[in-house]
Amino acid sequence: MTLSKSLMSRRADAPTEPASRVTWTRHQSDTCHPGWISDEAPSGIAFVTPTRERPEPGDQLMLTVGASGPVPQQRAVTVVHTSPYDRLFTLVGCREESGRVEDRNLNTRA
Amino acid sequence: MTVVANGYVTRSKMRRVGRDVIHRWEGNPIVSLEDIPFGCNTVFNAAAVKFAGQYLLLVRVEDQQGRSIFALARSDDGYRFVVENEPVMTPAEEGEFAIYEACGIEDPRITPMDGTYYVMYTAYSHYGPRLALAKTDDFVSFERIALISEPVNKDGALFPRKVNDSYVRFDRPNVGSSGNIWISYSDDLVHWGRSEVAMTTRDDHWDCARIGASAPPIETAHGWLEIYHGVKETAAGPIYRLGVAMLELENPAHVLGRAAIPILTPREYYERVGDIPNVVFSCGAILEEATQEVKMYYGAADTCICVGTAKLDALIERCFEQEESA
Repeated sequence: MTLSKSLMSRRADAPTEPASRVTWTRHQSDTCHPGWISDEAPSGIAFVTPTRERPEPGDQLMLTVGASGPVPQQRAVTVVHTSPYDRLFTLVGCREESGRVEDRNLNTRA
Repeated sequence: MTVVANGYVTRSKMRRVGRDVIHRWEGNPIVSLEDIPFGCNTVFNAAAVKFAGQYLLLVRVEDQQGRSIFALARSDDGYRFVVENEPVMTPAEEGEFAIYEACGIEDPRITPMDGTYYVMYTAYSHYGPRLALAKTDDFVSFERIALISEPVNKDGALFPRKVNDSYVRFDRPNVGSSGNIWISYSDDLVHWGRSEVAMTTRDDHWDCARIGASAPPIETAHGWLEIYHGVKETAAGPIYRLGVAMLELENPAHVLGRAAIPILTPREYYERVGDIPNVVFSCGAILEEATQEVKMYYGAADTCICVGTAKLDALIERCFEQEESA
């Protein structure tokens, strides 16, 4: 299906960076914190979160991706890096710990 | 409707592309329960404004008692918001407002005018909803001005300048479960009158049951651009959609054009599922002067707040399209 050119041109340019919603909790904590994914790979994930709530390098987190959708997905990660994003948010870089890469390989072989 | 070569349009393709002029941000919802740092039930319907280099949302939050209050959210980019730790406006506990805000304050709309930011909102009590007006210069303290309608009246939106030396507002008096968009005038923002109906519901349309102003009107060279909401009752409950109309600059009760089809209709999961399903409802939009892009903020399913964008020209064009052409 293709859109008519007129409709495409009338649409605003959307931000190009990925921006799925994510929520996260610290290890053994029930407190849920908000964020948006800014980059994602099988081995890791980066997201922005309010600076006042930011985790520290070494923190173990449980991320819930697509928390507002019908099929949320959980990922266990460890924070490896944080840096300022803007005046309100911090960028958090994480290493994947939940074995998604191995799971994908198994699924491929099956 | 565009049809693929083999004659079929699959549901998944239609959902991915969508048919709305408004482009939803991929990071929606931008404010949901997890973003509120104090206890509450839900969050929706936010006024929007640019202030001191930031985007502000005055967010309607339903507290755990079930009353609505206002919280403030700030953003540097208009997409990612941080909600302040405490509410900025709660129902009055004394004075003339207290009795009429006993059940909460709802659905704010912000209008900047002459350096002051006016907040028109719904004061809700056991006597029904009525309109109220407050103002702020700093979004820290809010001063109530007056209760400015009798019940039942909602969806008040103040124009950003006087028209023919009068302040102007949209409002929506209810007649049973139906309601139309009216216009009222004032010399002092306190006493309102000369009310007249401006837009009515349309039989056999998506806005056949009731309509109301959403964002405060945006002044354009073609007239006042108004984003409004329309309701259609179905066997499964009401569906709230958003549309646009163009009103004459010096006589805003005169409709110059009105889109036949909505600019946004509930399609996404967060618009379909929530406290009140199948609702998109806006209380604020920001025109980016540099890009002529409109950022429209809207409550979804009375459970979260989202943002969508459209070129101003696209919304204007839609006002004068009488039939679906996309």
